[in-house]
Amino acid sequence: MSILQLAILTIFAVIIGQWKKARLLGLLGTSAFVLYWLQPPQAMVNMTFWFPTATLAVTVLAWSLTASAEARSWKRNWQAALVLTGVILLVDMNRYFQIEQVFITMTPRLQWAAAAVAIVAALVLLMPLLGKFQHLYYAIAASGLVALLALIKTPSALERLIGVVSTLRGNEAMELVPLSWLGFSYVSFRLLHTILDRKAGRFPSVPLAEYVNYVIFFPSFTAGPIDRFEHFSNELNSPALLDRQGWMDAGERIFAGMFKKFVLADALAWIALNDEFARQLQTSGWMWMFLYAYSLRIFFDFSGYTDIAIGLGRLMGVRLPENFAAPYLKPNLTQFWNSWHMTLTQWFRAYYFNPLTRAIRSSKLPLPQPLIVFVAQVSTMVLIGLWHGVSASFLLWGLWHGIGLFIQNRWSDFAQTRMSALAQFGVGQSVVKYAGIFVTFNFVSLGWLFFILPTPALAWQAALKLFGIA
Amino acid sequence: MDVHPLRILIKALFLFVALNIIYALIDPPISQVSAYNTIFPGRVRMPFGNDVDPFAVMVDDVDVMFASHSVSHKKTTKEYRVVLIGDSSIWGENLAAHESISVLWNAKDIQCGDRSVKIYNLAYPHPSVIKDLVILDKAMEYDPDLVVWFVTLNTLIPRRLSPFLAANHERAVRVLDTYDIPFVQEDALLASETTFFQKTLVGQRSLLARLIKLQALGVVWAATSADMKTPLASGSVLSPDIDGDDRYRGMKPAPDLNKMMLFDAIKAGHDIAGSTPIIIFNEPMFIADGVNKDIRYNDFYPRWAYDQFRESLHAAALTSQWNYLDLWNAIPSEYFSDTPLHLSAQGEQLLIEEIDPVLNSFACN
Repeated sequence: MSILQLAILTIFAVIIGQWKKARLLGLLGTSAFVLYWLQPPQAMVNMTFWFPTATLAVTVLAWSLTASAEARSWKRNWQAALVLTGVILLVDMNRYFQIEQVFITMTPRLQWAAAAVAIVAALVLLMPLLGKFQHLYYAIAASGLVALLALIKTPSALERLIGVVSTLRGNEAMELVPLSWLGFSYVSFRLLHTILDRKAGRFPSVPLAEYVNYVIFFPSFTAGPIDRFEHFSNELNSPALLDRQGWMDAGERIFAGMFKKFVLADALAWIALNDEFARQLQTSGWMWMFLYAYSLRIFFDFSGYTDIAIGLGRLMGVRLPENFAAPYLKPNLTQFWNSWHMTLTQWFRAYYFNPLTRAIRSSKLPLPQPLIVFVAQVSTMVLIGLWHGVSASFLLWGLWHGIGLFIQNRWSDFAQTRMSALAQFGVGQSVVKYAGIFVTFNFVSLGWLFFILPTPALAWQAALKLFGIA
Repeated sequence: MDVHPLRILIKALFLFVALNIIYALIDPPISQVSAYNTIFPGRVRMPFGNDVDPFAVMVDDVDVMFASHSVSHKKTTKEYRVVLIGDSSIWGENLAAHESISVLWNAKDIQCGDRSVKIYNLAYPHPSVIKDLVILDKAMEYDPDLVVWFVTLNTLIPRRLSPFLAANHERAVRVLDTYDIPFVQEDALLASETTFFQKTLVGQRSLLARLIKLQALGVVWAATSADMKTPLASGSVLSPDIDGDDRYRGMKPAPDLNKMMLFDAIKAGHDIAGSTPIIIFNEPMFIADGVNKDIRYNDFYPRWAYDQFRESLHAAALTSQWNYLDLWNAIPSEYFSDTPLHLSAQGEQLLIEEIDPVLNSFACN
């Protein structure tokens, strides 16, 4: 996102925040448009249009699956349907408008876009026929979303699939090109939350505009936070008053976010470790410095985006949840993960860690407590790793943190009694705290090697250089 | 205290405008501020590269470029300072910094009596004799004892206005006017004169951003001694077979190409250098020996144009009594890399062997 795009989004947010009538529809149209606007151009030009369209299609289908017959009524939703259809067709018609500053001009023919809208509309109309099999369809939809997420997180698989489709359509075999479906990682988690909660009977039936607004809320659809529907819905329907303090808070968050993202993170990027630097750096001291620069850069970049999202939301009266709470100043790994990308870890805790732990504990096979902790923590962190991309490097990053959390968990139990005497003294307390912060920060920083470097072999070589072995 | 957000916004806007105006009025000499040669070691060649290269940034401003270069380091009485001027082949495109000509040459540790010969690579990619003059003009501030100037046909034929000349238009116009050098793009050069808006913080934002990035990259330079992404593997990639087109930059064979060549600029270079000697070398080039070798020497030069250039340069050097050496075919073809003028590291080493005796004769006599 550029500063100009951010300025335009801020204007959108201010207008929507001041809009009393048709606020939901205004937000819906803006968010749908921003989906297209921010989608990076793809080497396969048509995908620049089809990725955001697919996001809208999947969202609308997920809504129709979770909504009751009453919530699905035409009377309650015709305006939202019209807005979404209008945005899709208007964006597609850029092939005639030729406004290349806004979107690609080589969009698919209008009949293709219209056909896609018609197919989604037909599927929505057919949804009531599911009847008593609805629960089965929740499971299928959730599995389908996970499979789709896995597919787009495995770039080689997605590229090959598109190559096969292209060949089947009679086109020449295409060179594999990287694809980027903006925001789908976050969109899919919001959709899974609604489908799984609906299946468990915890999710309310809501009209189309409210549902789609939650899933593709434009300040947060690209990089979070991942809000829960109930909280978002309350904020959206009873927006916080934008008084003087509200304006100040929103402005402060946006400017703080911009400073973090465009000044600190972008400047640190010049000296942050990357595969090229890792190859050229020869001394351990410089390696550590460049690795620390990366650690700070990823934090400022990500938390900067969160600040901007929270500030934009505030302008519209929506208080988004916090996503970071000084994670690098936490004295252990558990606290780090409770303050780093908090809404993602909360999501995994709610939909994977807790159900898994409950399932193991209630199973007939008696497992010792440490083993339950090990299995739950390691598998959760591996899944979080793979959420970033299906590769050996992200798998190892997940294992690194999973095993780290387990060791820290065991150490805490072990040290609780033995260290308590030391912690009684003020100085001892400080030593334990700062030593914890130092160890945690360095542990997390070392883990970033798997994030930065394209292969585990390179990460291993870099680790050896860090410790002066290679 | 309850402050209205609008008041803060208005105050911020006022401060922003005031800062911009004050900055433009003061016009601080920011381009001479540098962390190189103090916090970080000076670079061994001019900063150059594209935006995706994590080691490089393009600055174009000659003051900024020199401030980051090791030539800005104070000269001692024991130093015999040699500056190299030329284009990408001398800068060392596709070569790592440690493989570039001045580093390889300095590794020989040439001594003349109690003076140590230090070679500085001031070449900058883009063949243009006017660009070379601007660099030479600036280089004279650093008290060189000898100037080694590499030229080729492309250097002497006027080209469109480069970003380098636009960024240094004041110095370029001064040199062109002082030495009365005909330059077809002078109007465009004059049009790029700095306006008041361009002197403000907003107008200078690109230069400021690049200047700051260049200083930050001092950390990368100090840590890696690399100033560009891992270069291409050495080894010739040029085909001995070439296209049969006999045109030179769109021009059909003509006997008066030499009239376009800016020999006046080389004369001006001698005036700028004053009592400092200049040696001019005709750069070595790849000579194809396959298909169409009778029409062209390589992808850059058809025979008719290059032969005319060599004859004319030779004649001009004789008439003006320049120190001149023609090295056009001094390096075998296997030592060129991606273009007919770019040398591999081994090629650079061979070039040093060719020039070294000449340099010694100047430095040690």
